[in-house]
Amino acid sequence: MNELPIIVVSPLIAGFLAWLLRVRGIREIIGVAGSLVPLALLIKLYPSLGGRLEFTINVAGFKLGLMLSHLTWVFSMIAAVVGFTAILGMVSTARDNWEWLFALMSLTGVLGVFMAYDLVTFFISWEVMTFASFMMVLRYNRHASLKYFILSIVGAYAMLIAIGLIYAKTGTLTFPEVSAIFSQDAMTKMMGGPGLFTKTETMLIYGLFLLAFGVKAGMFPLHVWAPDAYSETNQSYTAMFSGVLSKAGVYGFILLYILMYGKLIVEFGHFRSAPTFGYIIAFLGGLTIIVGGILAALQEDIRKLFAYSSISQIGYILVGLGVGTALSIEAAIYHAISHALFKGLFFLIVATLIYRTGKTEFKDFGGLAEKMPYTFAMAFIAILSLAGIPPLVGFTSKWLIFEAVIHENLPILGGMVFFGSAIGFVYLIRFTYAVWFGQRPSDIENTKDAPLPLAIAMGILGALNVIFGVAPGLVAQELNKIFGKTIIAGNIWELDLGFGRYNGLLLTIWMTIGLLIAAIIYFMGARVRRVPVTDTYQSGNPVTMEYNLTIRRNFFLPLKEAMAFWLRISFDKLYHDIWQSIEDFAETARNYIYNGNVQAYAWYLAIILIILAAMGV
Amino acid sequence: MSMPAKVVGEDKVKKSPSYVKPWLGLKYLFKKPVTIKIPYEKIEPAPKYRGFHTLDWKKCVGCNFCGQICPARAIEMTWIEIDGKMEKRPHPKIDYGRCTFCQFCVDVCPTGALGFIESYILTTTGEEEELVLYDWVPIHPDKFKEIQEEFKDWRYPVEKIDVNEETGEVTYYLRNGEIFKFKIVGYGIRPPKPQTQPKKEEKKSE
Repeated sequence: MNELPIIVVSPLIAGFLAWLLRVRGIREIIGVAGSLVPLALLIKLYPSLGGRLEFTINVAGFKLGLMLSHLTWVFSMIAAVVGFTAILGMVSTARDNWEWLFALMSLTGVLGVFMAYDLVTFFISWEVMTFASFMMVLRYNRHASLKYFILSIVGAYAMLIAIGLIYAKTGTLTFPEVSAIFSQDAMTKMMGGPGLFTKTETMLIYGLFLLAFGVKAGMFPLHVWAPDAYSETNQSYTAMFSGVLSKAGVYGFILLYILMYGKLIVEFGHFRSAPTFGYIIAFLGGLTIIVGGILAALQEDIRKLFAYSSISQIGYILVGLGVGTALSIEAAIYHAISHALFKGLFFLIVATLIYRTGKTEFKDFGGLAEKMPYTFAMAFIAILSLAGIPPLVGFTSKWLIFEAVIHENLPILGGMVFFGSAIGFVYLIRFTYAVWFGQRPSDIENTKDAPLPLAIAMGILGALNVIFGVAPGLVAQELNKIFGKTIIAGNIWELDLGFGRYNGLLLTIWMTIGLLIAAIIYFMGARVRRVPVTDTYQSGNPVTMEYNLTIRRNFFLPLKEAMAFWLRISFDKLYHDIWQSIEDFAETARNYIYNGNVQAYAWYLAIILIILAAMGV
Repeated sequence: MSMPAKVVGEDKVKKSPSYVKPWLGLKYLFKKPVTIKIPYEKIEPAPKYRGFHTLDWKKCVGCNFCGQICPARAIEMTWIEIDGKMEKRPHPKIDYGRCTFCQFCVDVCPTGALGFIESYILTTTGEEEELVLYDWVPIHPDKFKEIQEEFKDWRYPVEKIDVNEETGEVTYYLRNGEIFKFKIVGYGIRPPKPQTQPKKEEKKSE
């Protein structure tokens, strides 16, 4: 038969087995094996990617299909790699078999989303993914999980309505057929003929898809679930939650391009050099970058900081997708890969920190670099990668996005992404300073380094961050295959855009030489000796460990004060108000309609009869 | 001895505002309104509702306790001549323009002469001759109750009071048609000087 269903279903089966077998040790082995199967099969299928890799099955009158193309392979690999490392991390941090079941179930869901061949499979997988991740959060925090669930459900059913509209008009649900009908419709429209879809319907479908995928990706006005859901769950799982599940939204936007690109351009035209519908996505993405970045800098909780950071980084991907050229979409997919790699690594580091210290807030951390050197090294890679320091993957992808935006001459979006890059540094400084450096509180004096499974998981992601950074062509050539033509030229070390080039290897070599020169200058200097952390400047006064010299609270107070006006505008509060109003409305309606008065019910009957009479029944 | 302070937490008292909950105020839209349609429906005042005063002229000893305790100084002792014969003691005259209906005067009355009844409605126009109604020497309780029983509308029992400024002649036109006449010959605790009736003055001095 076919490997495709095995790829999708194996994590679910493994999760179910791990849930059944409550034996400690065995359930871990089954779980990890379940997440390893998709990875191994995807690698095995790589050589045969050019051919038809499809699988269809008839279930309940629906043809459910799976398909593996270059695009879906790339996304599935993100899911498989980051999913595998996250599951490996869960060997240390999972508390019970509940988490094994739902973590693996969400991996199945997200693989299904990426490999779906038709809208039904897509929607079912989407719901499996949402449900499993909801259950993961539910174990930790009910409020956060329900917020996530309700927003996701609103998004998912918006998508269902859009799918229904498409099906009602086209009568088909498979991607190639829907895509063909839409492009044919665009062509008819361009010729001046009557389209299959009117402008209103197209706008409606676009809006519904924007809502559906925006929620999952954490796009700006719909991002409020993410900080709570990302922080209130197993942090190893969040590596997958933020690294992969949010990519489902990104993949959804790409799907929008695949299905309706021509039609949307014909209907809505261009804004500057970008398609209007894409510019909307890109502009919201730009706001996402700014809002996520600023809020990340102001968080006092390590998990929240990275949650907002995830939102901010998703914004880059949306900008890249929105600009809508082949280069920018490639850049966006590249950033999706690198975001999954470094944010997965970040959340594994957070998982390690929480696993070893049991603390989550910056005020409890400090000076851990000495006690956890391996984790610190991994954090260092992740920090350099996210901040976009050259030899790492984060630089490559951000550079590509910058190039794509600048090339299309979009100054506002350019300003937004550059601001986002700066604010990325800002919140990472906070993390670096407050967790790893400075004085160490006495209660985390005996912290040990990462446990082995987490260390291996971090090692895999760290190594990929470096490899894909030094050899950016590895990814770029794979992305070229998605479009079937060379968009980013060059070899595996070098990217050549035609108007700009970036050589990862050469840059690494030069940076190493630079570091060597710096090291020579440093080591040729005066004699060095170690001093205790309290032997410090402090305006020339003596200090002891009783003095807290590390700023651990309100690190960016001036930023907070400068942004005070804008921080008063909270979408979180808005959604809470809306939800509160809905709850109040439900209570009011219940009181009015089910009022316990028999005569009232008789009146309802009479009113219905009058309506029926008026309708002439 | 210091008692531990009992303070209810603010969160238990403070309510969160709502945009929708005010609509719950419409739940009385189909309920029976709790109004009393006054011209057509009547309400019964509570027993011993503090209304207008009654005075048993036979029992009143003119001690002026009521005048002293009245917080509004609405009571003035009045010397009265009825059927040409002057009462031995002054009787209280109550000004309903000042009276607060506290009924301290009733509580303090040593003989029980001053009482009150549940009737409480007295309406007039602003005309001088109608305003006279507010200033009266209360009538006998039995007479008042009789009128109240007859009309059952808790109104003031006198329809009109005629005062002859020169002779001091006062006429109560009661609601049941009866007419009650007497004459005010003076005010205060001391008996009036017999200026208008020199004969009586002479008799007394003799």
